[in-house]
Parts: sequence; C-alpha cells; structure tokens
Amino acid sequence: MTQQVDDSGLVARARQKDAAAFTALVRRHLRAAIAVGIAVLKDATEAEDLAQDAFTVAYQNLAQCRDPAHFGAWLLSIVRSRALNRLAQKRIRAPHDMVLAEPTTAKEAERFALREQLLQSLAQLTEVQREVVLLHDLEAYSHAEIAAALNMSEVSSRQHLFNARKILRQLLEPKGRP
Amino acid sequence: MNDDDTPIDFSALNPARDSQRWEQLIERVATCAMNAPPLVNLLWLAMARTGRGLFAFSAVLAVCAWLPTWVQGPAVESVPTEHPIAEWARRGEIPPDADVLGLLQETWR
Repeated sequence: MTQQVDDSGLVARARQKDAAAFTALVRRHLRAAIAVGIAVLKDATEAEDLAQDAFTVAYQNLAQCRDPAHFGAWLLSIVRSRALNRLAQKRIRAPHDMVLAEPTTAKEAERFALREQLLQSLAQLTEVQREVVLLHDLEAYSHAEIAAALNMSEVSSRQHLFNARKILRQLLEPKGRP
Repeated sequence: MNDDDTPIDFSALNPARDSQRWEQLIERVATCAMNAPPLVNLLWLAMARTGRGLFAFSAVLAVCAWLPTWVQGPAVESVPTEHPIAEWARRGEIPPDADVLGLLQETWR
C-alpha cells in the first residue's frame, strides 16, 4: 500500500462530489477491500460484490470519516463489518459453497485450479490469519498499517502472519516433496 | 532468508491481474457508489414501515390496559386521614377521643 498521505486530500475533494477524487480512492483501496472480503467470505466473486457495497456506504458517509488520512483503515472496518453480516446471513440461509467463474480455456482452467487451491488452503486459517496474510502478502500492507486497519498490535500482526504462512506452506507444498 | 519470511504467492487471487477487467471494475464500483440511492433514507423508510405497526400495536395495548379503569372507576378512593394524624404526630400531642372518633366517622362515610 502506498501514498496514504494523499488520502485526506482525496477524501476532502470526494466530499465535494469530485468523481475523479473518489475514483482515485477506489483505485487505491479496492484491492485491499477485496482481500478482506476474501478473508472473511472465502469467496473471490462475492468479495468483489462486497467491496462495491462497502464503497457505496463509504461514499455516502464520507462526512463521518473522522480521520481522512486513514481512509483505508476506515473503509476496511466497513468491509469487515458488512462481510461479517453477510457471513451470518449465509450461515442462516445455507451452508457455504465456493463460487468461482467457470474457466473457458486451458490457461484459465490452470489459474482456476490455483485459485481454488489457494482459497481452500486459506479456509484452513482463522479469519484474522487470513486477513493479515492477504493484506500483507497480496496487498503489501506493513504491520503498522495492518495493526491500524484491524485494530490489533503490530506484534499480533507479525504473529498471525508467521502462523498463517507456516500453515499455508504445509498445505500448498507439492505432494511429492519430502 | 527464513522460509517463513517469504511472502506467499497470492497472485492468482489478485483481482488486478487482468488489467482490462480491473479498470472496468474500478469504474463500476466508483460509478455505482456515487449514483446509489441514499442508504440512510432507505433505513428510515424501513424503520417507518415497521415503526407504524409497532405504534398501532402499542396504542391498542394501552387502550386495553386503560379500559377497565374507565368502566369501573378508580379501585381505591383516597382517604384524607394522613394529614390530621401526621399533624398530631409532628406536634407529639395525644388527640382527644372525640377528635379520633370524628376522624374515623369521616373515613367510614
């Protein structure tokens, strides 16, 4: 994650209904929002839909963002909260089914299989481990940024990352390797 | 480098790997967010819908609770005995028998 310093300026302009500024905020934070969505829902497609939902809530409540310099952390708290609500609704309605777009070519099929393997391995972690490892390894968040976004200490963030990677390496290791 | 210090390769989950689709997604998310109907108004509407029913139900309950009192009148009539007795007690005086009997007669009337 980069250029966090400019978030306050973008938020100020977005509050004045500046579409370009809000689009810049979306461009900057959409990946992290999707990563947290995947961490909670374990579903890449639904995570995109959730991110859409969270950005709508964020746009309509920009006035309530008390620290615009940390717009990203505020947005992720919205994503997390709405993801947990969806998860609770899903648990009431039906057991979880992973939904991914069907592949159409051999290359896509390979990528599809890899995504499925990653999601299934991630599902073996705790929710907080998934959030930390995805924000760190997929979104390049620092431990300080993860600590602020997920309301935990940097030490906890490091510990969760260490444990998550250890479990994932065991699960993702090729079967033939000793 | 320690094996556990090496990042896991999540590139297959990276939504930005298909740049054309990614740009479309950014555009769609931003546009939909800016053009969505106000969520707060929807919330108030939902509250108004459920609130109206709750208000009617509460009103019916209140009427049912009040109706017996209105039909039968007050269950206990107020008896103004407290004041003279309290006054005697405050002054520490022993009232004459006639006053006590008079008060009792007033109470029974």
